[in-house]
Amino acid sequence: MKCAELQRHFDEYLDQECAPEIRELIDEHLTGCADCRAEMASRKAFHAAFAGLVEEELPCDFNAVFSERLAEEERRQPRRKPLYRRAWAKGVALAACLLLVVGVIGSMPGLFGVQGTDAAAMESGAASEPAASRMANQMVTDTDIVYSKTAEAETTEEAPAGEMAVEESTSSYDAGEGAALPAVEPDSAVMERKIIKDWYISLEIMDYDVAFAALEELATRYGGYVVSADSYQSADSEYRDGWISLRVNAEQAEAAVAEIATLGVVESSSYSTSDVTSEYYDIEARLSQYQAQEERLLEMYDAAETVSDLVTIETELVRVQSEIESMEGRLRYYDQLTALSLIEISLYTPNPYTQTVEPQGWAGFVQNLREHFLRGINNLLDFVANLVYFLVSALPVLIILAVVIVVIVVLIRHRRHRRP
Amino acid sequence: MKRERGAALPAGDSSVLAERELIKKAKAGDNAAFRQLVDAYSKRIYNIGLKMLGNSEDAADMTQETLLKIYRNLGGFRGDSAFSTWVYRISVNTCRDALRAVYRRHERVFSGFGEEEAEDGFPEVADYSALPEIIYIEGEEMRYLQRLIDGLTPKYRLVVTLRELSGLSYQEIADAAGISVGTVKSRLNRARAAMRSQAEQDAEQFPQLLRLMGKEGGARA
Repeated sequence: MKCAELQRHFDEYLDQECAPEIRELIDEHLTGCADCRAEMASRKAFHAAFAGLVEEELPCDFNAVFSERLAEEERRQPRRKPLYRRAWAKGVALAACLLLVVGVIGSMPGLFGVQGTDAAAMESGAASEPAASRMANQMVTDTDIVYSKTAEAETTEEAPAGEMAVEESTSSYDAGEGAALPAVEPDSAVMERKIIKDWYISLEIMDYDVAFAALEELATRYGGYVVSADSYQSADSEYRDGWISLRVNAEQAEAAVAEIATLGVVESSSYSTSDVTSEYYDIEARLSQYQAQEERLLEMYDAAETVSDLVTIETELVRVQSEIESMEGRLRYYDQLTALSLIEISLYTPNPYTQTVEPQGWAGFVQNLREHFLRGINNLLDFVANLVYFLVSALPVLIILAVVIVVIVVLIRHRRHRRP
Repeated sequence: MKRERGAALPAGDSSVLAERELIKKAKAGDNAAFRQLVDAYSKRIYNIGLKMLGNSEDAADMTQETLLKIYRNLGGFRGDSAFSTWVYRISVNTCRDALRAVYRRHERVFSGFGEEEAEDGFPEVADYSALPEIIYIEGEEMRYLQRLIDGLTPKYRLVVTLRELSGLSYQEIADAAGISVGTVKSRLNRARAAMRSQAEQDAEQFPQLLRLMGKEGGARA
């Protein structure tokens, strides 16, 4: 091979990314070719020079800003609770039930004849009772939340493509904020609510290109467009994934989402809304005030007599006009956001590593056996884990129960001791 | 030696396991675990952004955006590629969008750095005339090299950055940029050839630069 041809591989050679046969060829060639040895040395020095490049530090406010954005994100779109938390949730539920029982029992001290026998026991009982029941209440509330989440997660998973569960996150605009101006008294009969609604869908599809084309077509059909799209093809397998963001006519967004769901298997789906109604009409009201002011200023401008008056009026006019422009811009922005809903779709094809061809006959039987056995082990592990979770979460209850029992036993013994 | 410096992040088996554990926790909604998980990457992502976008504000924005994308899509991460590969891919995609915005701001056309290879003959690898002027100052080789990289067109700058600054292997670069290993090789070759020839040209004015190429006495190899 000629020198020039080999030299094309020198960089790979130095990067340790060269095919072994070419590496051998180069090694062999270098022993006999002084020119190429010099070229290799030169490139080696060049490579080595780059090794001195260092990464720069992050800006010092980076983490603080990120924390803020993450919190905002979380408010916008609460994460789905994972599967293994359910076991934990069950534990909490059971513990809460037990606590409730304890609380009820604790609130009826007469049952155990505690009254009047031992002042100290009485006191501790009274002190622990409200705390216990309060705690029980609180835990029941918590559990409710966890359960509704869990239930929702289950429907999402088990739902066939057409059905979807959605969750509404808190809107990030404070509705009370814009009420300062009297002009914006909300009048729901006349005022149209301005709500920005964004959807997030995670979709498993069989054929990436088909789904992608369908989504593009869908966006136009629903009066919108594709905002951005990204896709990725794994180098060593058929696996593909990507994101596509669409904007569609807000009124038809739900129909669009339902149709998107038919394209594949929906793994998760959620939406978030921001109510900008008060904000919107606040701006509108201020805008009309400013417009009136602009008119007055124009009149004054025409009537002005001295140059200094003219200048003052003009300065004010410029300020008012730029305010008007910025407010009109904001309104247009909100109009656009509320008219077109954003739908973000995360697309991916099934994981090739989990797609197995079902073997038939004996091999299939053996594989099924194996699977069932493994499933059995997993179930056992789950059971043990649940048990541990339960025990841990029940610990406070158990401790309270233990105290109660000890007190009772002591009291009973005490009485027996006295009577004879 | 590249590999040591570069280090696809999880260095050993134990840290791969630790990372897997963190991913599991983060998926479960543990934000502290998520922070720990991405903390290891944010500086790397930021530096890719810095090279690709050219200024720290855009780079910081792009890094934030990437981390949020990771946060939103972590549920979809299946673990059939390394987490680092996945992170780099998202970074590159986000970077591409950000760069498009930067170009739009300057009313230039961004040709992207993905799969599409320019058909019209030899693609422009580097455009050093666009930079204010490459000046070498004694003892500032690193700054000079930075400028050499900055002069490359985006798709070449991307592979060089991922290689020289992030220290990825050819395969990792291919996965991150969505191109084949062959394309990575040819782009790196062209980019390095362009940088070498620029350095040789500048060496006429600043003979000290010859050192970078192991010539003229002060060879560093």
